[in-house]
Amino acid sequence: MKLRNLAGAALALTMSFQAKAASMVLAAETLKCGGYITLEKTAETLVILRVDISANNTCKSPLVMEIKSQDIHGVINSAAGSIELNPHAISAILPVKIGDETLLLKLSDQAQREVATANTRADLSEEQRRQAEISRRNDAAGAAVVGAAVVGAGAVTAAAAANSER
Amino acid sequence: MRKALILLLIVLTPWVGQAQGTSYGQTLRLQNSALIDRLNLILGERMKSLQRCEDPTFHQKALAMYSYLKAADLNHEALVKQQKAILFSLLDLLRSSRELEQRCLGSSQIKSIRKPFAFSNNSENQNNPLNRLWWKTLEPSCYKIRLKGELRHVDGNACFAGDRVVVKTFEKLQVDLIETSLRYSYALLADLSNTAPQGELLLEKSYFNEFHSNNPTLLLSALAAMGSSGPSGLTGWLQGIEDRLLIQDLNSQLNNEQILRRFTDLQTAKYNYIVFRDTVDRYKISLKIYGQEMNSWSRHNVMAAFLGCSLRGSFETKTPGLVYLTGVAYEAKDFISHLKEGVSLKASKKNFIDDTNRYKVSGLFGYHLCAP
Repeated sequence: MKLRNLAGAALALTMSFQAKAASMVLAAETLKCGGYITLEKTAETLVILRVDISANNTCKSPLVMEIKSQDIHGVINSAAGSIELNPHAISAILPVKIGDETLLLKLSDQAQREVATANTRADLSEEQRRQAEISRRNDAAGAAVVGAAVVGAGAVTAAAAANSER
Repeated sequence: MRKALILLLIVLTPWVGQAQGTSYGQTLRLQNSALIDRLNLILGERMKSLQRCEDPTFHQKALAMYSYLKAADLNHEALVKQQKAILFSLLDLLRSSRELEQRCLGSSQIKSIRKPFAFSNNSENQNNPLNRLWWKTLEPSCYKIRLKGELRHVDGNACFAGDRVVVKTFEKLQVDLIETSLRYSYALLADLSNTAPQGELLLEKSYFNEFHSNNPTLLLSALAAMGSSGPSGLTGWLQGIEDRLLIQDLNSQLNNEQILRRFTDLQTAKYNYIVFRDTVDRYKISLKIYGQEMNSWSRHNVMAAFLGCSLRGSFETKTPGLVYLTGVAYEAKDFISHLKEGVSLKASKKNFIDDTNRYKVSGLFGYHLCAP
């Protein structure tokens, strides 16, 4: 029983570490009260806003958050968490109102390029359908040589795209 | 305003590097923009043809939608966010236009915006009955376009020929074009996953494993459906095959979801085929079709082989020559559009020679492959 608890704790730590490494931070801002928000792109290519008001801060709770461009208005009811955003409605600056503060998340050119290749969950459902079909067939066929991941995740290069036309 | 609660979920999946290039997700958005553009052009034509039919609600709604989309940047984030809603509205309006036409004129038929590819009246194409029949069979057409797609330039030669024969061949064989193409595209990707770098992949073997039959005509038809033109997200316009299927679907009893699903599935098959060819090149895999090397094949070879095969029954020994003529007709127009787009004379000339040769070689290949 004790061993199992220990294993569980270790796993939780690993998962928590992976969660940190899993996303690419595109922009970050700090709240006056010590909390912070980050705009991140996840491994699934979703864009999320991560909010953390959990440690060493004087943020009042509950806090009201509003992101007009995303049609989001709600109460932050957790010390730390994240919300999915629509990347198609994000440009160079994303204003986020939290409590009585308005934070401007400024995206670098590189960050904007990352946002341009991000997806909504609706976009992903079609992508996942495609990926699932590729995986199903690869599983049925046995060991991959060139690699299912390469083929499945493959994006079309500009050269291939251009060569296919004219 | 919609209320949204802050989620408690934390994403735990590890970060993996992103593939370079045009992703499937990007293509999905761009192809939807191309579809919106095409449906809006069709709506514009419907409004003109129904001018005398009284229905203020339809005309008011259609005009508002048409004018807004005609002036809008279809790839703007705000519009991309609403793509599905816009597509549904357009499809609803087109359905209403059919009902109005039925009430007002007693019939209902949505037509394509395609314009016939124009030939000179004095040419062999007009005077020779066999040539006339050939062009009637192929029905080459051009399309009005404005979007750039992933190629990042507006196609100066938005014309396509042979799509009618592709669609008719599937109808004749009583096989669903979209389902067959999609299945075959996945089969090719699966076989590719199991091919060693610098190994060999035989297209007819992949076809046989998937469909348990040896049918060169159907194989070339599926290849033509997915490989004779790029996905609409890439090109910015719906080419011949998707145009024909879309018009069929708009005149059918299919609901909006079904129409969009069919469109997306064909686009996915085309995207899969480009990924397939791209990966074949990257891993230097030898690609063959019934003994013929096809690593150097472009979409022109695919269409030429298909035409050489599927039309030999009607045009017999003249078929390879007529396929070559098709290549010359298309590439002559392409040559001019290249020059207009600023491509050098030398490069445009080389493109003309290379691509017309594709029609010559592959038309002959398809002709011999499908000999009875």
